[in-house]
Amino acid sequence: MPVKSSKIDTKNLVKLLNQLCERLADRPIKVMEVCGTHTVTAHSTGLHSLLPDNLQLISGPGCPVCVTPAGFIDQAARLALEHDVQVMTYGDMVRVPGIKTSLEDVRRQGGKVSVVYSINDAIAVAQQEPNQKIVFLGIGFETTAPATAFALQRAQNEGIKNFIVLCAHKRIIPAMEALLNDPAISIDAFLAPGHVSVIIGAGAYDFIATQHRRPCVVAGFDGEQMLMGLVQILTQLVAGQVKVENVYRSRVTEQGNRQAQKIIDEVFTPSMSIWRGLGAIEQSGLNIRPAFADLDARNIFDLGPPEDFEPSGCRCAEVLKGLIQPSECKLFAQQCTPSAPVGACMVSREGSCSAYYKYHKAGAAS
Amino acid sequence: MCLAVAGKVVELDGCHAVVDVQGNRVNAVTILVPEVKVSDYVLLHAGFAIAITSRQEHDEQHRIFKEIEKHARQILQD
Amino acid sequence: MQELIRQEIIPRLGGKSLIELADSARLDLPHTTLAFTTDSFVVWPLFFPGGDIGRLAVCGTVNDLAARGAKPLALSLALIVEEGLPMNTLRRILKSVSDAACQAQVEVVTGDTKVVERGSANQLFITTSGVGIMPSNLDFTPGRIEPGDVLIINGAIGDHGIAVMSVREGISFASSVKSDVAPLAQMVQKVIKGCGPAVKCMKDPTRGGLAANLNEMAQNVGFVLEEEKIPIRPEVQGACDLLGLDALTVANEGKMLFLVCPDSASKTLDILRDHPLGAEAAVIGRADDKKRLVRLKTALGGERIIDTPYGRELPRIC
Repeated sequence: MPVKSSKIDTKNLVKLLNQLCERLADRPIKVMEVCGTHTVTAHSTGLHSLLPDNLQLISGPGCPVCVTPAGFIDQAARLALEHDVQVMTYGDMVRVPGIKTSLEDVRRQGGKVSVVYSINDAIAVAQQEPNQKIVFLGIGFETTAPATAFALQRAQNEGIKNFIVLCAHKRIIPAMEALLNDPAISIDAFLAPGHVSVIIGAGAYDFIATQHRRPCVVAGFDGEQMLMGLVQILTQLVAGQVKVENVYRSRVTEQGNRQAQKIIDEVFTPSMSIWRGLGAIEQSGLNIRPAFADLDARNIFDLGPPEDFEPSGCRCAEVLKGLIQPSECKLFAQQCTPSAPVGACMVSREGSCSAYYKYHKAGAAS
Repeated sequence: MCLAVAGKVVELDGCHAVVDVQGNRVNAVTILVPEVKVSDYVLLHAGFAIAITSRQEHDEQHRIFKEIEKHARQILQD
Repeated sequence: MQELIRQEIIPRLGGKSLIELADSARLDLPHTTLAFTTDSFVVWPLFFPGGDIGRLAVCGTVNDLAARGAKPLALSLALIVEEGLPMNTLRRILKSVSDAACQAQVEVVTGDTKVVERGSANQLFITTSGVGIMPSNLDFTPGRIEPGDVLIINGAIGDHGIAVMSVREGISFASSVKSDVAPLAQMVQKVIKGCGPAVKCMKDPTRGGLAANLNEMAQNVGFVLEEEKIPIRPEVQGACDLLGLDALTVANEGKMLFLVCPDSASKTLDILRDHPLGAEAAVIGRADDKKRLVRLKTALGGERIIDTPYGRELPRIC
């Protein structure tokens, strides 16, 4: 539930945003958000329609489903079909196209795939059916990693031997750093993801201001929060200031959730990870530590890192880096639509292309 | 993916809680907020409470809004 | 689904009536005009807060007739029963059918029952047909809608979809939300009696919610809705937030959308609010000339498109 307030005058915020952007009228301003939930909020609240012409809110690689290499799906599919495993996952993964297949296809072929709201439900099934191997797909950023960590600790402590995790968790900070170091990408400021920040703390973004000299504001997930975040960013840009600020103070602290950070550290270790579109980034993934090897699908089934693959003509990679708008991809709204997606950005509800298509009706109003 | 909603803890048994989200009762694990008590408001993500929030959130939100507005106006006047 | 209908079914079967793809077909006979409809019910689970498949079958069919302005006359009921369905379950559902038919003042006049092997049907499927009498001098179709016509709904959205989701496995939350499943024909008849030809078109926004159904109606016109005017219960909004659902895409089974002349909007609201199933009626938007575009003026003060929902967001919902 968003932090709702009936007293915030959003008309005034929009007016301020316009006035601030007018001061910088000589150049286009690019603010990047790196959270799928921000992508959806920005579209569904009509925020995009309120932005001044010279302000662009770009979606970066913030959708964990979209940035997971396609080969991850094929690995999960093989486990279901060749090892009689029951694959359990959060919703969106089911329709994502892998290299050769999808989990939806696996279901049609009789493979066991089910969707859960919480990893706790997956553990419950593992307990109820001790003879059935359960493989949970650990996808998500730092908001979701603590849940997987807890589940692994619990499974180990309680001897739930049939509960296994195929891990693809990612860390957002190395990705933000990679974007800032990429000379092809020009970002003036970041709108930082509210719920990841609940875990890692607002202080985690200090390097953006101190080393890369860009403003960064943490914002939550309603239109008002994002609008306030944008006004703060533009205020900094106009004033020539550079700092990390936090609009989501009621839920995000400077240091974050120490308990969550501790449990992540106990179970996972930062590792090299491949991001769709960004390639390999050091320390950007979370691997399960050897102490939990018995619950690690990669260890049990001898799986290497997932292969990346881009369907011919698919420009998800560039979309994920904020280099192009979805509408600039030739496949967009032609061969690639929500009902027949080619790339991950169109499948996931939080993908840039899906959000753009759904809320702007490709080809209709701008 | 980072979908999280706020709700009130109405039952607490060890690290297992029931959180009321606008009349919907959701099971949640509270190990990430060990200091939580019944009647606290928490932020819920995928079956886990990840932060304790304040009941007066909307007042704080309004204060933040006023700060931002004031600062932006100051800068525009310079 | 829409593609399947348009590309495979219509070309092979389509006559004047079928092509309309309306909730009910209009049959003009020498001295009377009938509305005729058919529907299938595959909801899972069979029982949900506020109703069950039996009640859903009667109300869904009656509401399709009501959407064409018809007074329901008779229903048929065909049951496909999976071997092993407990007799008590069937009895409960049949009682629901009976109670709903009584409330809707309609009779189940004919039926059929088949039993299939275990695994061939998920406990029970129901197919219905319904026939009703229409006023011969009026019709209610998207073709009659004009820019400026006012869009009204009889109450809060999303109750049915959330009620069903809350009892599905794999979703661990207990909700106080009950399905809104209800027969609307009498309420609709009052509106027609009071406003006559000022009522241009009606639709019950079932599967796909407001989003799917408004997009279906947006043929010669477009629609613009105002987010802050759309009634929704806090529990339904909370459940949507929890599950990441857009309430505009969630199914309703006791709601009717009305497109009425601006001059009759006030009277329509009064008539609805005077009826138990319309107490929370509200104006939620209007038709405009941006053809085939359904837009939302958001609470934030911006604007965005409301598109037809894709994929199986809420499968087996009705």
